[in-house]
Amino acid sequence: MKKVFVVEDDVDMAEIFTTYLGRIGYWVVEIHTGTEACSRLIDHQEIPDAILLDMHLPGVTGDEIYALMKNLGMANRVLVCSADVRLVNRYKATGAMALAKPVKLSQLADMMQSITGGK
Amino acid sequence: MIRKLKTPQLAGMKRFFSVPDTFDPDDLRMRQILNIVLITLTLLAFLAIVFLFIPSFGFSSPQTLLSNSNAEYVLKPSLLGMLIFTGLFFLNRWKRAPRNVAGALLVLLMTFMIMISDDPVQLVNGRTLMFWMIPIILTVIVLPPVFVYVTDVVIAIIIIALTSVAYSGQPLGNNLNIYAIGGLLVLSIMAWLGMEIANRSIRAARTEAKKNAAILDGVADGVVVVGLDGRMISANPVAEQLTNGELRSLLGQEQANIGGRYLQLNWSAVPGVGQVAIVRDISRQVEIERAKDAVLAIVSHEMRTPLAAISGFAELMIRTSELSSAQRMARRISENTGRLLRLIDNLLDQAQIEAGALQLRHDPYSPALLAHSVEKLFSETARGKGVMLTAMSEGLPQRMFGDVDRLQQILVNLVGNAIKFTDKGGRVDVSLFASSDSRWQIVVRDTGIGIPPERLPDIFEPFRRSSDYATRQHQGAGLGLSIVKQLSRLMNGDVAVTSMPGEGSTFTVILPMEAEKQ
Repeated sequence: MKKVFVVEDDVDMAEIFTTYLGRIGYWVVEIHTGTEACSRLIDHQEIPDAILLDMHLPGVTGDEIYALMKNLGMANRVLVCSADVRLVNRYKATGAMALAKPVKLSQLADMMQSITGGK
Repeated sequence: MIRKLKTPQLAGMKRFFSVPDTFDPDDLRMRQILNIVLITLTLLAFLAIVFLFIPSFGFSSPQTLLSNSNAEYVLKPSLLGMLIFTGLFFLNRWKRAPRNVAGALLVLLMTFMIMISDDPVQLVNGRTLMFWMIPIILTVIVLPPVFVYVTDVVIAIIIIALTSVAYSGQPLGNNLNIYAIGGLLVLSIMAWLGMEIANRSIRAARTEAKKNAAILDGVADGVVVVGLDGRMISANPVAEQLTNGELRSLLGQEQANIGGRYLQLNWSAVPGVGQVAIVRDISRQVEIERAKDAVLAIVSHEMRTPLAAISGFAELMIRTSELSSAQRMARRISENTGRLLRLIDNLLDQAQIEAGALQLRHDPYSPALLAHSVEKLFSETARGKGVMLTAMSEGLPQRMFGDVDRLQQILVNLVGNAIKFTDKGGRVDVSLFASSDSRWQIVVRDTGIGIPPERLPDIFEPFRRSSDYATRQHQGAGLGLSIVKQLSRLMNGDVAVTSMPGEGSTFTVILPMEAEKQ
């Protein structure tokens, strides 16, 4: 089972992502702040197969977490997800995987599939 | 800018003679040429007199003149006058000093009186100095500068006539010199006319140049003129001021940022001159453009977020067969629809207030009911968050007047914020009370996270939540407090805030007690 971090501060969105990804067979860890995401990644060396990353986070921002993953050489495990369309386009332009909210769940499933290479 | 040249004219005399103290360089050159012409003409007149009366030319002889007893007395002062006049005439042309006009007029007067007098000797010798001073003073005060030329010419002619009379010992007109005088007269008049015409065109050109310079100086935009060789010819004061003296570095550029100001330069080619640029300060437009972008980003984000929740839950519901979880998701959809709706309402209110189109009603309402309705509205949310909420009204009349819907909107925005920023175990207290006979207050106090001091100054500005957008914990377009402030102002009241980070915030709305309208 592939492990996915859902880093999302909006409780509704977090619930949607967790429910859906769980239902289609991922092992989902729901994280609500950037700080918690960092502590899991660095302090606990907990590396997931994919991160669904919201950008507007309290504390450590999505940009900073993305930069951290890039430093770890695992930027290709991050799926950026934001309601800020311009931010999403900026990430897409750098070759990153990015989705604008509202998200089509089937599209989310496809992108997760391509990141993790299956469940 | 047109170069300014100072003429060496006496400053004190200037107002009497209304001679402008600035000239174009071209104008001055023309003036010098005319001066040379006039001086040459005067010298010619001199030579003519001398040659006309030299015996070998056969018109007259000094011997016959001197035998006439009157002539001697007339000759001396008139020659003296001529000498003085010529000196003054030169000086006048050279320096354009008005007192020389007076001097020339004095000579005119003197010679004229000598000419008509039966006893010139008595006339010249018998007067005191004051007699001659009075006309000088009067002339200085009264004569405008145009008369300089007229008087000069007339004086020259009269002196010639007088000298002629003195030499021949015969009345004017009875002698041959009348032809010479006539010739000189015509010459002088022609010289004067030519000068007057030239002067007029100079004056017209000068007026035109001054007018153009004044127009250029008065234009609200900066104007820069660059010659065909690429060098700056002129710039009006606005251009100098906008560019902060760094105009030269901007030649040929379309846009620039000088001292925090955004400048736009519109260049256009002017045949025969070079290029003209209109310099505009577009800082305000740039600022508006940026603010518009920021607002658009916020509004787009704030609309997409609840929409994402709505579409997400809807998709999940489609894929679920469990009724209870479908109901839970439907409730979340409904909540997010409400959030979206509130955003749209706030945007519309903000736009309406900004356009000055918001009309306040004036209806009776009960402040106690108002407090109660707000408490009821938020009781479930507060309970869900573990926040204690109280609302009460004390010491207020049972019936008050105003727009109860807008008052409720103020309360909803303030109480909604207070609950949002207060953590579990905290409390939010709302009180409505009379602060004086004519004023009452709405106070919303919470024990929430508080507001950092640096955020307090602009907390009531619309869309001001963008600065800490990426790191903020609580969503919103930042319109609620702006609407509270603007509604309070519309009701002839105001709103204030005090806050301590970590301890909580207190919002106080002060409103006038409105009487029932007849």
